[in-house]
Amino acid sequence: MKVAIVTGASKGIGKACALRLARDGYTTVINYSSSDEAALQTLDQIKAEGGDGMVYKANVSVLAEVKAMVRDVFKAYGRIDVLVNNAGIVRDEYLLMMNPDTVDKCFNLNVKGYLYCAQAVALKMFKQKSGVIVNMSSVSSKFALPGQTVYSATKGAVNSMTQTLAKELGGYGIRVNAVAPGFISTEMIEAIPEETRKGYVERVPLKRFGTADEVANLVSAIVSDQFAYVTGQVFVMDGGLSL
Amino acid sequence: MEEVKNKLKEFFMSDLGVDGSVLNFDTALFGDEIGLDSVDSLEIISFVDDTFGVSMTGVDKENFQSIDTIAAFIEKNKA
Repeated sequence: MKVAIVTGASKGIGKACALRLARDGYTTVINYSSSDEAALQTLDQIKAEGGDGMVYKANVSVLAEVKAMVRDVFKAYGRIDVLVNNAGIVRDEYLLMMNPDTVDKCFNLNVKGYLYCAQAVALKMFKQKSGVIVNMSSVSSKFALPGQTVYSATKGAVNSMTQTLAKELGGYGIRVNAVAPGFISTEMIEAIPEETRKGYVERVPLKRFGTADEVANLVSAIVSDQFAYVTGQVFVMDGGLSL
Repeated sequence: MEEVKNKLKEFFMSDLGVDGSVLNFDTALFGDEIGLDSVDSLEIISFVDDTFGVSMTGVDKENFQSIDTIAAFIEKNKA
């Protein structure tokens, strides 16, 4: 049995990753912070497809909650093979309108949350002498979009921590990579006015948004043995947007 | 306390390849003298967790200065 924890897995890209890893045979932990019903629906879907897992409510920006989650998951399954650090928020604000609260919220979840989860699973993976961490970054870390100063800074931090952790943990059989999606059809994108969305599509060389399933496919490949010699990389998946 | 320190010293010699003749209980572990680096801290944390049931994940760096400081932390925090 292999075990995967996906943070922020009740919807969007996190949900797609949880479903895909469950289909790949992982016992999957669906971490979420507020959407009880959505998380349970994800678990129901996994079970309906013959998979297994659990839901776990924890705010990953709170160290004590992360520690408790990893402890309980390990107690339940005895190992942790994959961590997908995905829980995050986007708050677009132009520089002069930037609210300190926005800065704190974004860094707490998008950066500290990733670090706390990586730290908590690292010792378990170290003892197994194997493990894979995938950090969800964003094309915003590579391609500047006005209004995303804070968000892009957090995702730049994700890319940097991915490289450093890959060096720090590589000697113990632990791989760390990041995925940087572009415009992906999720509830977040659907909420944008149609005209604006059309404008976004025009900027993408492949002339469409990506899907959460496509991101999940890449995550599935990265955690597999086919990528056994790949660590410290940031995989941009943006339909060519950043070119 | 002495038993804890001796177990730690044995671990540093056998698992991390530290020369026992230069390793005293108060020797700085991460200086030039011994040559351990921060990556070795994962080995130390794992050993302390397995052997003494004490978690050192995320504790202050000062606690890793020497066998003396690690042993003191273990004594203070073991159940």
